[in-house]
Amino acid sequence: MNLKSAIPDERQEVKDVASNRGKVTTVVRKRNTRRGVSDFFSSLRLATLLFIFLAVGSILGTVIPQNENPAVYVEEYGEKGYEWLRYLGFTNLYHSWWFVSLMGLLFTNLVVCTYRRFPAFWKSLFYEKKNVSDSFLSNLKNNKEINCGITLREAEGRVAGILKRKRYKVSIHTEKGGTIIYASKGILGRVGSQVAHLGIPVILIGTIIGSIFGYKDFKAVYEGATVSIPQGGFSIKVDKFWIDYYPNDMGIKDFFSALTVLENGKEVLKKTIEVNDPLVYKGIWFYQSSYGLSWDTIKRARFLVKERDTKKEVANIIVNWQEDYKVPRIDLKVKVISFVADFAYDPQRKEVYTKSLEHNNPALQVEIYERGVLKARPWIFYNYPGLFIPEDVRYYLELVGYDAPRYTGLQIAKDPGVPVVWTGCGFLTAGLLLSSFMFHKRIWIKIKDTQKSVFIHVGGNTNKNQFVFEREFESLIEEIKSPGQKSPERIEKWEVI
Amino acid sequence: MINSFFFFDITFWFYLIGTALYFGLIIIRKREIGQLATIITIGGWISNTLGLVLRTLEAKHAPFANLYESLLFFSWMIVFIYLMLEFRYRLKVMGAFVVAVGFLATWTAIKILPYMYQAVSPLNPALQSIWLEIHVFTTFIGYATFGIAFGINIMYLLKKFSEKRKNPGYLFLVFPESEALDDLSYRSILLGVPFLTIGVITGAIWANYAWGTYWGWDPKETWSLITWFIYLGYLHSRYMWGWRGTRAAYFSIIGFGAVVFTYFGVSFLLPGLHAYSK
Repeated sequence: MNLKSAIPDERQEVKDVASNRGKVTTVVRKRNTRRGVSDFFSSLRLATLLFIFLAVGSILGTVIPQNENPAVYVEEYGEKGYEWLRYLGFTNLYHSWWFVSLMGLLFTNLVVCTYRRFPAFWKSLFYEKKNVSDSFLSNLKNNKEINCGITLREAEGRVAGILKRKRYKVSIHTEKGGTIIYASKGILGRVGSQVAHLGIPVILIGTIIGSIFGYKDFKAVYEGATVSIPQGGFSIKVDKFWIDYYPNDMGIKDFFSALTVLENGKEVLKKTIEVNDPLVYKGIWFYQSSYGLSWDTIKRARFLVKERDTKKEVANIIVNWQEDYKVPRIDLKVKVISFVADFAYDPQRKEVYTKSLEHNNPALQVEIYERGVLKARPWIFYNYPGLFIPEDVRYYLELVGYDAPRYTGLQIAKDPGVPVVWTGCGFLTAGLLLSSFMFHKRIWIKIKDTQKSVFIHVGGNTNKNQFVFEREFESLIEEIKSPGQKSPERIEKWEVI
Repeated sequence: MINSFFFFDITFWFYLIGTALYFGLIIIRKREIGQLATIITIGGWISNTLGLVLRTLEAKHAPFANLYESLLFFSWMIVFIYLMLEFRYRLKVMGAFVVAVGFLATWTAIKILPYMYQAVSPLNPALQSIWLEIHVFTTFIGYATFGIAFGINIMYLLKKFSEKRKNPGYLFLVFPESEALDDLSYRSILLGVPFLTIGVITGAIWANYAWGTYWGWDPKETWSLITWFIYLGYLHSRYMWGWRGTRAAYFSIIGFGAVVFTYFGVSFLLPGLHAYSK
C-alpha cells in the first residue's frame, strides 16, 4: 500500500493541493522501477510483516534460554537440536543476523515512509480548505441542513460565536448569496502522529551509535585492588566494599563500593557507588551490579586431618592461603596452592578451571608433605569429602570450611547513543500524547440566503475519535438551532437506568 | 486489629457486591440498584485506597513491590478510571464487566495468592529507586485502560451476538449499541497506549541507571514490547484499514491476554531480571 491509498485524508489533501496549484499530480502519477522499490520499502504491508516477524522472534527468545552454556542447550534439546539452534542464531537471537536485519528493514521502512509522506503532510498542515462545494458538504458523514428563521447576518454571528466559544479557530468568507465559515482545532493531533513515527528511527539510530562507539564490560574487583580502564585512560581503585542488611534477617538492603578515580597515579575523584547510584567519569558509567566471593583465591581453609587406615580424626587445622602449615604433634606439612569455585577439568589442555563465578563445586588443591617429602598434590572437594584419597600417604584431609575474599561486581558501560535514544523516546511519547489527546476537528458551514429563508448547512469531520465528534456535532446543531439552551451533550440514548 | 489486610478484605466484598449489583441492574432495571452499585463500588474503592495507604506505611515503600501489592494497585486504578468514566458517560451497564475485572484482580490477590506472597517484604536493592513509582504507576494506567477496553469488548461481542439474532434477548437490550461500545473501547486503548509507552520508557531509563543497559531483552521487557506491538497494531489497523467491531474486539482481547501474560506468565513461567516481582 502506498501513500495514495494509505492515508485517505491526506490523500484528499494532496489532490486538493494538486488541483489548486496544478503541479503535484504528474509527479505522483509517474511510475518506474525505482518508485516500485521505494513503494515496497515504504509499504504498510511490509511494516506489518516486520512487526509480526519481530514479535514472533522476540517470543522465541523468551522461551529459548539466551546466551547459555552449550551444555544447557544439549541437555534441553539434544546435540542435533543445539546444532540447529546455533545455525539459526536462536542461542543469541536478539543479536542474530536475521533479527538485526529485520530491525534494519523496519528502520528503512519507517524512514522511507516518513520521507515520502512528509511533504504532503506538511502542505496539508498549512493548506486549509476553506471554500468547499455543496457536494463536499453533503458527502461528509456528519452534515445537517437547518433552517431556523433568522437573517444571514444573525446566522453568521451566532455560528461564529458558538464555534469560538468551543475554541475553534474560525474564519469567515463572504461571497455572493451566502457565507462560508471554516472552523478547525486540534491540528497538533495530526503532528503528533508524525512526531511519534519519527521517534522510532531516532531510537534505532541511538542503538546503532551505542553498538559502534559504546562498550560494556564487567569487572570483579577485590577491596584495595585497582582496575585500569584503557578506554578512558584512567583507572579505578576499590577502597572498600560493604553490605547493609535489613534488621531481623530480612535480607540485603543495599551494597556499596567506595571508588577512587586515578589518572596518571593521581586521585581525581572519589565516590561511593551503590545499586541505583552509579559513578560517571569521562562518559563511562560504573554500576554497582553485584558482589560475590572470589572464585580463584581464598583467605584460609579449615581441614580435618584423618588417618588413612583408621579414618580417625587426628587434628582440626586452619591453613592460610599459600602458606606452609605444620600440623602439631604429627609429622605433616600442608600448603594450599590453588582454588576453584566451580570445579571443571579441560581434558585437552589438562587443566583445571572454574566453570562459573558461583561456588557450586568448590575445590582446593593442597600439597601434602610427610617427613619433609612432597607426597601428593590432591584436589580436595568441599561437597565430596574423602572422594579421592591419595595412595601411599599416612594422612588425608577433608575440607570443612573456607573463607574467600569478597569482590565487588562493577558493570562498566559507555554508550554515547543513550542521549539519542532518550531523544527518540521523547519524540515517541510527546507524539503519542498529542495524537491520543488532541483530535483534528474541522467544521464547514455554508449559510445561504434564498430570499425566502436562510439555510445553514453544517458539515464536519475529524481524523480520529469519530464517536465523540458525532455527539459534539449533534450538540453543535442543537445549539445553532436554539442558542443559550443547555447543551444536551450528556444525555445519552442508553441512559434509561 | 486494623491493618491493610482488613481493608483489602472489605474491598474484596464491596467489589464483589458492586459487580453483582451491576449485573442485577442489567436484569432488574431499577435506578436505585444502579445508585447502590455505584455507592458500594465507591465504598470499595475508598477501602482499597485506605488499604494501599496503610500498606505503604507498614512496608515503608510504595505498594508496587510484589504481585500482591501490584494486583491491589491494579484494582484501585481500574475502578478509579471506571468511576470517572461512569460519571462522564453515565454508562452503568459497563460496570458489570469492568468492575468485574477489578474484582478478579482483588480476588486473585487476597484469596488465591499464598500467604507467603502477601507478606510485607523489604525492597531489594535494585528496587530502591524513585523510578519504581514512576514506572509502575504509568504502566498500570495503561494496564487499567486495557482492562477496561477488554471488559467493554466482551460486552461488544455479546451485544453483537444478540444483534445478529432476530430476538435480541432481554438482557442485551440495556447494553449500549455495539458501535458505541466499539468506540468506547477504542478510546480506552487510545488513552492507554501513551501510558504503556511511558511505562516501558521509564523502565528503560531505570534499567540504564541501575544496570547500565536500557534494553536487555529480558523476558518481561520483551513481552511488554510485544504487548506494545499488539496495541499499536490495533490502532494502525483501525486507522489505516478501518478494522473495527468484531475484529477490533478480538484484537483488543488478544492485547489484554498479552498484558496478563506479561504480568503473570513472565513472572512465573519465564526466567529473568523481573523474577523478583513474584
